[in-house]
Amino acid sequence: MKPTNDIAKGSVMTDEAIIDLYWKREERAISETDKKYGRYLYTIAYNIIHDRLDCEECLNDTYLGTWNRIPPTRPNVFLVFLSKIMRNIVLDRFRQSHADKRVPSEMIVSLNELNECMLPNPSLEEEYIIRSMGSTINSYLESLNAKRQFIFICRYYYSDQISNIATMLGVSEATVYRELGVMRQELKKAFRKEGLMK
Amino acid sequence: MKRSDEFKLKVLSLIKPEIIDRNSKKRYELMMRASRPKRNRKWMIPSTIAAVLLLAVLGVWLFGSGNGLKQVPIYQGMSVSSTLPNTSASVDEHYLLLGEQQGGQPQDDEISGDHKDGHENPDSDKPFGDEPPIEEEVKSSLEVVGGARSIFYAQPNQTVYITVHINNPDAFEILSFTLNGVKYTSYMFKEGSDLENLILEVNVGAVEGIQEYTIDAIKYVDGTEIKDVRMDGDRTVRVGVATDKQPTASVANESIGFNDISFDVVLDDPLSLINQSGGRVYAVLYDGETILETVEVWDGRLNTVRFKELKTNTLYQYAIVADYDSLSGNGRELITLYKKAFYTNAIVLFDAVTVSQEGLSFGYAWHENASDKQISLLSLWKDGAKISDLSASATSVSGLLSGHTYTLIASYWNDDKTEQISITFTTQAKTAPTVSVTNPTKTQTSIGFGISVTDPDQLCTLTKIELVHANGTVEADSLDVRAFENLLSNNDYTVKITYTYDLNDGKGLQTANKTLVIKTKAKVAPVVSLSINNVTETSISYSYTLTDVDSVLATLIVRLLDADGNVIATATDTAGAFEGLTASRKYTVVVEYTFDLNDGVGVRMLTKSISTATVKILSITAQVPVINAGASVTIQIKIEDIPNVTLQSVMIDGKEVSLTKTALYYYATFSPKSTGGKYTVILGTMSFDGGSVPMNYVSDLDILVMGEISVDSVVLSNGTHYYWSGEDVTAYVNFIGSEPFTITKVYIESGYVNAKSEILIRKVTDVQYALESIPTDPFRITGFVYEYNGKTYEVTTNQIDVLFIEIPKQTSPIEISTPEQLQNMQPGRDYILTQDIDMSGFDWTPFQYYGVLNGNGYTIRNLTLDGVTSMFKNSGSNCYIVNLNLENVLLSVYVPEAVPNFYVAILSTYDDEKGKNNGPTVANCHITGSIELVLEVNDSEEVADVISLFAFSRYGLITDSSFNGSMNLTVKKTFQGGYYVFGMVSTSSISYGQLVSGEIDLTITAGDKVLKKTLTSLHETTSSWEMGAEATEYYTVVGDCVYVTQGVKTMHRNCLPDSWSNINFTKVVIPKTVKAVGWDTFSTDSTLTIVYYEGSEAEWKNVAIGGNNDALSNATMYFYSESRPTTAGNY
Repeated sequence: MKPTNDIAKGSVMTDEAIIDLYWKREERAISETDKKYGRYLYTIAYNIIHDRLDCEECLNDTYLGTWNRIPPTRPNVFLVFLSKIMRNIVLDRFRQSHADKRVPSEMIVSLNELNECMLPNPSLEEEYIIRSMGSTINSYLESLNAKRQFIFICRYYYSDQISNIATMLGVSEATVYRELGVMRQELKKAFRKEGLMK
Repeated sequence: MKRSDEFKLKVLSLIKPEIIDRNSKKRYELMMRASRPKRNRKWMIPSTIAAVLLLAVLGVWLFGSGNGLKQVPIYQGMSVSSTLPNTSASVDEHYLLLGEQQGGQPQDDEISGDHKDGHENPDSDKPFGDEPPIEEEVKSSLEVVGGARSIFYAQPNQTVYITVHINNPDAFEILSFTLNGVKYTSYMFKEGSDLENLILEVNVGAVEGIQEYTIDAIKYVDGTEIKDVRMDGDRTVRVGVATDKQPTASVANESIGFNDISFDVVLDDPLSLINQSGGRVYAVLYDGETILETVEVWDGRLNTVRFKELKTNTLYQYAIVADYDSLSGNGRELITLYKKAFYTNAIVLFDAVTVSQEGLSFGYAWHENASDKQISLLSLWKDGAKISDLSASATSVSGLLSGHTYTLIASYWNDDKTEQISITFTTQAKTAPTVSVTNPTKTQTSIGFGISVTDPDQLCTLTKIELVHANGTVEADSLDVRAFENLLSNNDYTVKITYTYDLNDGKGLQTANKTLVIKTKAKVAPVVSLSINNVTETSISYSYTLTDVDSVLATLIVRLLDADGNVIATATDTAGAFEGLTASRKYTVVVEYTFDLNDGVGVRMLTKSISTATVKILSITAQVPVINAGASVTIQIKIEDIPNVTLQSVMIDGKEVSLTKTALYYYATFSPKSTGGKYTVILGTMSFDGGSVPMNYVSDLDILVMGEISVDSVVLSNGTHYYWSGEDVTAYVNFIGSEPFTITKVYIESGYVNAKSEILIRKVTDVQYALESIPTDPFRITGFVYEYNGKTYEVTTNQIDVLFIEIPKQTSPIEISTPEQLQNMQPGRDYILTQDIDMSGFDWTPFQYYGVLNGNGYTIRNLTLDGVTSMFKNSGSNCYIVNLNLENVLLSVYVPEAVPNFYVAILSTYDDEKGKNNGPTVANCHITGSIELVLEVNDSEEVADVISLFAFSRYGLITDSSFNGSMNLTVKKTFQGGYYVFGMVSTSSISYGQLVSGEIDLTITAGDKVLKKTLTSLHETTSSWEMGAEATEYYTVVGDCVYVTQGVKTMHRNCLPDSWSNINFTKVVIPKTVKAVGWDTFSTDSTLTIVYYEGSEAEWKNVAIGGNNDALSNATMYFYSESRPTTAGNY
């Protein structure tokens, strides 16, 4: 196996072409996937488990999972398809490897931020509250403009660092902090309105 | 990971995929744009995959090297999709069949513990309360054994696409293949197929479960040979058709012991889903904390399961779970097929437990194998402490607190040791009574109420009924009281009910009360309405009305106060008068009354007062006591002065009339009835110190109004206004009037002298008076004097214009019967028509005539006056035309150029100004016909001063005559400057309207302007101004000097600025083009003082100056001069 650089150099193949390679069971499918999306997928992992080796293993597991799923699957949006596999694998890895450890993880930091607006309510059945909160979050996210929705997803779904979100959007970190704070408060109000939080 | 973080992740995992998708793409784009440090990472492909790939590549290479040139096609496998491969919607559609949410209702049992009812049917869904359900524990303790098989999920009868993948680098033509024994050839491949991907459309059919598609015998063409493709890939693909025919499990022969349970598992898997997916079946035992034991049920047939070493009298749950692919799209997973909770057997259980408010009854259910045992100890516990030991044989407990929780523990001997069972129970709570005060009633002095008690446990005892008021609290004599009497009106009273009860809850006797506020009805205060009915100079009449619905009045007195507030007199009657008062003084009438409303306030007092004054009327008279109908009467009122008192209104004949005040009098003017009569004057209100107070002073003053007395007509006894010389006629004045009267004088203005003089009369009848002599000049009756009721009154009457004409008696009149005879009449001779004369086609030439022409009642018809201005000309006052009819006369004149003045008249006009004031005398002459006058005027010319069209003559005396016809004046230029006069006869100092009648349809056409009207008056004047012309082109004004425009030929009064109203111009500059100055251009009241004429004095003398130009005549004249003039005359 030749090590490859994760940053795309030169021309990259289209998603269609890469998927076709998977369908043809060509090994190059994996190298082309890594060439195009490796770096991006790596960030998903690194935000959750700050361990380079673990991240690379997760990345390899993602490619394996992709190889196993295509065919028969033909993903509509390849990037999203890869991201979901990657995130699930990384979360499983995090649960297995770090169940009892306090590890540096941006995900844990971002989840802690949500303590102010999202905690289990002991007086309600957990399954019920999870489903209700999920529904409320969706309504809330759909009410947001594109920029705020993007910030929320980056921070709490992908556990991106504040600085990285700021760099992507070309705004100051303070702006991202402020937006996140406002959104957490709004979310808290929405949960309270639904009786999901005290 | 903390539980709370896991919780959050679960919540976040529910974010909608489309939101994640959208933002993931955005994140990727932005991240790729951002410059970030690179990382070093290794990656690897699992060795198994790599080996497969390597072998495949190697195999191909080896095979390919065998023939040296071409590579045999190699079958590599099949894939299944729901849409045509390589299309945009290529995401696999997996079908997720969500199981229904199962959740047991929390058990709300007031008895818990070792009692038979609770052990018999434990809740199998959620037997352990809040502990995790067995399904969850199973998933965490059992792993899914074996990997997922590649399977495509579909719905029944769904069309799917199977793609056969072939490595075919040398592009051999693929001929056919066999799938599940059915041969498919190339033409059956779907669009999109190529030499390496053969797409086949397949319907999965209605059969649910797993379908397998196996490929075989793929043929390809190599030159002329048909060869087999090398089969290296998996030849079978699997399609899972979703189904609800899922495996089920049940148990049989269940047997529960003290320490074990056994049962037979009965599996039903109609589609063999468990077997086809390589699944397993287990029986598991759960105690609410962990899965205690797992037993695999091997082949789905009847299998006996037994769990041993269980605790006695303990709750467990077992389940039958299977690890298989349910074809719901989730792959293999653990699914619970059956579950049940149970208690292991007990030696003894409490049985028939019944809880009451104060106790418990119970029995025991002994296991059949323990019938020889018995309870040895029985004790009652509360809050962890023993309350009492009970008899071991007791089956009930009493005397407990209500709504409290107790534990009953029973001990028995088993195998030489003591064992216990217990139940915890809560006694039923007693219900607190509720009391309410109902049905409140009230009067002005009492209240009533009811008491309603709701007390299911009969705990309530009424102890007290009280009435609470601001003045204090009164307790009812008995608990049966439901009303209180003798109360104050309009007061709040609170009914307070006190009661006690004991809930047997350990808190002892409770006291409570219930209250209701009831307000007694209010009594109504009496109302007094006071009015002043009349005041005289020494009395004031009053009246009042009292409304006292609740009869609360105590006292009432009427007082009269003077201006200083001193009581002058008192009274109590509802109506009365205070007499003997001083005139012209202010007084106040006060009604003072007291009453008690029984509301605790005591006696109240109210007053009602009106101030007025005794008014001394000095006089009420009519300024003119007798008037004509239609005239108004002014009443003059004088009162003795009272400071600050002003009369405000007066009612006359039932109508309010406004008052006007002067220093001495008030005046009120009104229009009386036309027939006259008596009038009553009521002085209604007066202003008193700024306020309005009633007065109602009634005056009996009579105002007498006479009926109309006026002159009806003045006529000769022959019924006309003319008479022949020597004829015996009398002139009468006829009056009209409804009241008896006597005329004593008649006043006239005679002739052209506007002076009043008396004309002598004598009474003929009540309404007809004869003139002592017949006036020869026109005169006008202006007034008369009459007597009525011994008084005489002078009346200015409606003006009656009268003209009596004496016609000279004809001397040997010459008879006329032909047109020629008419044309040949000679002046100075008298003529009489003997028949009607038709003048059709006769070319009439006007001539001067004087004498008496008697038409004798005959008619001259169809006379045409073409190009002439009248029938006769220059006929003076000694020309008489009598008793003549002219029918269908046409006077038609065309004037080709501008003229200074122009007059036309049917009977007579003048050639010039001479004798113009001496027209003919016309009597009983009736004309029909028309006058047509056309004036041709160039743009540079102006029409002269006056254009006149008359029916009879320009001047003269005309009576008892009429004209009916039309007049048409056409002027070929809009602005002509002059006046137009139309009518029967020209203007005069006396009108003769009542003597000359008829209608004239008048049409004036001036340039593009047309004016139409109908005349019935004697004559009417209009001007080119009324026709819309503008005058400003005729002059300009600089300071006080008017410059007449160069080129104007004729000046007339409208060629100067507003000369009628005498604008203060003092100078006028007249150009040399002016040839005439029209009538009345510079009248006597003009302010003109200086005239500058741009010609010589000699030329000025050639300018025709019309009459009424005195200001022009009197002005200082300056004529044109080469040198600057120093004196008047030249400049």
